[in-house]
Amino acid sequence: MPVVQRRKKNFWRGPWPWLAPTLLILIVFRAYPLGDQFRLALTDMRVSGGEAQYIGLDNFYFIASDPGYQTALFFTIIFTAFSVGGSFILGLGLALLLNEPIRGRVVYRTAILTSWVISAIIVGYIWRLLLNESSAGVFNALFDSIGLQGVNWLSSPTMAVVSVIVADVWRSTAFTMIFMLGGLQTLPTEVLEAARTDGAKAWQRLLFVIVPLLKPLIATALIFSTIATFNVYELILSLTSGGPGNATSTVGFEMFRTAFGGDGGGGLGLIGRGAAMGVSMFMVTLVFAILYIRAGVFSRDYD
Amino acid sequence: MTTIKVASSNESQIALSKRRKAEMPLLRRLRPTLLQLIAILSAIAFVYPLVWMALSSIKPNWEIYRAPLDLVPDNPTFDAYLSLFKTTPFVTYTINSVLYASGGALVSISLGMVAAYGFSRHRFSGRQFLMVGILSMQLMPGLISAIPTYLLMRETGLLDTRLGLILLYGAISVPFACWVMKGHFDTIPVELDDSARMDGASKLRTLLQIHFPLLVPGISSLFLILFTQKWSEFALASVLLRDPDKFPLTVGTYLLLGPDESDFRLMAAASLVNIVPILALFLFLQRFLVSGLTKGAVKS
Repeated sequence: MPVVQRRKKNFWRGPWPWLAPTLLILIVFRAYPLGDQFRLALTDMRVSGGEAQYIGLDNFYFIASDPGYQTALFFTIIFTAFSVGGSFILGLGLALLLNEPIRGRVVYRTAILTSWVISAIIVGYIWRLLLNESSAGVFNALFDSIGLQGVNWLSSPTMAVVSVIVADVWRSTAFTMIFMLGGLQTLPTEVLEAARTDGAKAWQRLLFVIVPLLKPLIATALIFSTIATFNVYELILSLTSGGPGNATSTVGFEMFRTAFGGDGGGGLGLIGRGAAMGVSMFMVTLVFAILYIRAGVFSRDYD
Repeated sequence: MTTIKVASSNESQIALSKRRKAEMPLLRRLRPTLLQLIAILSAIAFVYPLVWMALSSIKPNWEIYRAPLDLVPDNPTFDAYLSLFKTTPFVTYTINSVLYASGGALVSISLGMVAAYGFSRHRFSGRQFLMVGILSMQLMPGLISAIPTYLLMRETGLLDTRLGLILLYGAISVPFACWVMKGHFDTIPVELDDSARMDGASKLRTLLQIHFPLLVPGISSLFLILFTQKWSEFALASVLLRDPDKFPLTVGTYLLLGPDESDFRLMAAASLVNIVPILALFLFLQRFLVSGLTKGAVKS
């Protein structure tokens, strides 16, 4: 009896009562669904209900040979590469700029950051207005005013790809900027001064001093934005709905369309097949998550 | 020979430095202006679309199509807003958005804070494993598991309920909240806990009466970040809610505009209604937000 009582007391004194609520909600709402997705991917479950049959890897075989999924995967990779690269270069550039003692830099920073608080689905609508192919769109109006012909920003497959990437860069640059700006402000000024007195030019200081010092932060920013960009869905939905044709459809967009079906999106209600696509998104994300965690484990202890 | 050489190299150096002096002041004088110019242009690239959209939403149609670049409308009209608020429940959507965003943020912060206390004040086996596990949850976007989450909600009766969405939003950002709060707890000296215990305060009381007041600035910026994130969420809400009376602004806007709305003014007005509240919040409290964001980003 006394032993049991002491154990009880120890339990309440220990960390577990504090951790239990968080662990519980994470297991129920996050870990369980992520695991359940693997089970669902092996069935032919439909959103309309009915008995689901175990069909082995059929869903995976299907999506692997499905042209719709292949196009979406290919586009998602291109989109991620260009969008992450573009927003990183612009974000780092803006961070370097706003790290200089220019007048009114808080105003500029605020102005740029406004794009960060806007929901992706609304960013899609904003860019649909800007890229409108009638005379009302800003870009075509600008082209018109300098005597150039209008461009089919969203109705030509090639231009639609470019447009979607530009819109996403516009949306995600601010995140990289504020992230890198935080890093730049922690840099030791002595090191930069030393490089300057040694006669290092601006680009040399950037490449050989600033970038190596910020390497962990740069890796973090790139991994975060890769994960977010690869799993894009909302921006595509409101800007192009994956079109024209299938040109700007992403894996995330295909997953939602397959499982739930958007308005006029040709939804099939195929929960099982959608879950297989979800599994593929999970695996890609997992690779980047492991990269991030491994880098973290070696560079800093979790204290 | 040598002297001549030295002299000539001296001369050339002098010439070089002279030339540099002639160049440098110009560059130096131009540099701030140049940087200022780039900064202004970048700011315009991010703000102009919003300003243009706001003004388009009050332009009559013929102005939209005839003179899209004119900023100031000649005959402003608020038709789009009138029809927006008359024919669609945008007020309800807004209230729902506030509810989900603040509810989700509060769930994350209250659970995350308590767990952060556990991690910060206790050493136990499996601690590092758990913290890495929580971190990896933070890296998984909620959208990836939208399908199994939908089924979970259907089986537990939480589908199409406000509670279900708030709990899910809370669960998604609990890891971030936990990591950020742990960073804050680590800055509070343990001696403070000890003296509170000597005075007979329980741990919970110490947390609520001693720590909490110190954590208020950190909690407020965390709340703002999470509120902004939840306000923008669309994918999960669109899958988990069926009743339009429960839609947040993002889903309500998509319900109205869909994938191929062609009414220019309506699209501009509806988008603006989405943006204005969160933008106002951001502009008023951006100092808070930015410091919290960089802190959270650097730390976690």
